[in-house]
Amino acid sequence: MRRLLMLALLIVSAAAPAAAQSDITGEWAPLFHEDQPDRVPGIGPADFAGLPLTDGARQWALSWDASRVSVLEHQCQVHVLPYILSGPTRLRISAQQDGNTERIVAFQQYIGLWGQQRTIWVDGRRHPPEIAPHSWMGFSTGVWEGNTLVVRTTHIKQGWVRRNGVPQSDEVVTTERFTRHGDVLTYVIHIKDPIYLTEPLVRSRNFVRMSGLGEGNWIAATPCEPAEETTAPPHSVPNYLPGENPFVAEAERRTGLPADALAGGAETLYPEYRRKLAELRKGLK
Amino acid sequence: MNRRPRGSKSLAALVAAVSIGCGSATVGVVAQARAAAGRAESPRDITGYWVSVVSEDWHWRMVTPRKGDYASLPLNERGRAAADAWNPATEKPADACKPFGAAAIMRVPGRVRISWADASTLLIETDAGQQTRRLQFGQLATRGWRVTRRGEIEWFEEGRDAPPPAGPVTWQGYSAARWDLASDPSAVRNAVFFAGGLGTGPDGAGVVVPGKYGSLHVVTTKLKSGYLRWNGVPYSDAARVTEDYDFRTEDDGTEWFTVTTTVEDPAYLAAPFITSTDFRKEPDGSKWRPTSCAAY
Repeated sequence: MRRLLMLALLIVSAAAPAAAQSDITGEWAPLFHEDQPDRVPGIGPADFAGLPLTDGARQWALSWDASRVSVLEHQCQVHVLPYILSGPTRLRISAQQDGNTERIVAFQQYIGLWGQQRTIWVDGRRHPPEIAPHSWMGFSTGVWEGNTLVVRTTHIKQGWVRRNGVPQSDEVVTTERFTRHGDVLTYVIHIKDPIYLTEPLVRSRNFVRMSGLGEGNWIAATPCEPAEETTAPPHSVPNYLPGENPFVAEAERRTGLPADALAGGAETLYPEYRRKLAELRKGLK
Repeated sequence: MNRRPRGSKSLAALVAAVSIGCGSATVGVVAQARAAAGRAESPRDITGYWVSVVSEDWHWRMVTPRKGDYASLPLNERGRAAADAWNPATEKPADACKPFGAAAIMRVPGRVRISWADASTLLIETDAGQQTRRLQFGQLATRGWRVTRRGEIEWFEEGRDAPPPAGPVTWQGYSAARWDLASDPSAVRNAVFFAGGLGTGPDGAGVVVPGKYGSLHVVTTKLKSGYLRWNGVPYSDAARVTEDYDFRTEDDGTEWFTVTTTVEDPAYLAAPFITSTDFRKEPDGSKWRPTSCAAY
């Protein structure tokens, strides 16, 4: 009877492959059928439409000067977790198994952009205390809701949610969902930032499964070594003082949109804003 | 000679017990997706009013982009030529609903009202353009994972997709739907052998959230040609639209769904066009504003 029970246990173990409810492992390439201007070339400065910003976030973003990325201290700053999977990156997901039980205890994600590696723990461990160090990718734990891997991440360093200076604080908490539909991996992220967002920012992206090992499709990660790139005084921080950002007017000309829309805010996310926008645009003509 | 070994019989009983312990003798032990009668198989109540939250493609969805702006769309040469030839001045009143067809309607900023017309017909109505989509269950083949009697996991397909009925093409076409249901693995682990064991982490937190989950899978054909983008980027009446709706509840209690939409069009697209669009549930219909295609 003992042997029988052992056999039954083995069958059940095989039937429940350590919570791998859907095989999301493998190599995935991003599709840019959404938000392509934002994610690939960059959307341009002073355009915050469609972002639920706080006033503080808007002020921060308007003071941001693109030259800041050339400053020695910022050169090696990578896209933080709330943004990085929107970028032009390939994604490799692998399962990390306990050598004794064969249970999956974590998923490893290798993100081609700047060679970032993150671990998503699915062994039920808790997040570290608030005072624990923060990192670009933060600390992630996952659970399965059916075929969807739901990932909660905390302890993320300060960064940005749009590449034109829209900030993200180190108090941000994200919830990501990875759901596989055939060869398409749908990725949804809820970004909650009590400092810079008035409501969660939700984004959904799609990746497609790459056949084979994907060799040749990866850009080898290169270590970042900061070097002097500007003639600005050491440790200066390029910025615009309030009301002096020249790109506010430039963005209006470039997009044909009124400043009210480009200023962003939660109102701009909802269908009724189309009507307001139409009225505002009449005023531009 | 023909007597069944005792162990084997007992083993079969145990495996059967696992199945029964999962709550349904017909569901089996591991993930199983099947075409269903629709409402009865729905893993949650999806009815109600939902608003599209336009945090993506804002410049293409909230305003009409300039002519020839088809960045990010995988158009073929014919598609680009058609988009370049778009002239809003020559549009006829009958063309007003071209941006509201099934290949694009979920990207239109607006609200949707989801309801069951009957046990196997789901309605998705839009206030923008006043469109009604009818999703028919029971017309698609059953596919999914199941456990064999020997305890092996196998992929299965049962039946065939029924062909769409005869009739003219329309803006919303013909939509066949099924639920791709996931199993509740915590039931497997916790109900029989491993109460509090597998699926439970070292500090007691679970790694599998119990409950009923699944995607709503929809295939739409028989579409009248329309626009993928307001500025005349076309899709043809040969287009096929595949959608997967994933519903969820966030930890702040808000309910959402994301629909992943794949548009395949041999006439105008060089590759499948894939987007995912996010909706949040609203408490009531107080913001529902039916607007015709022409007035939108």
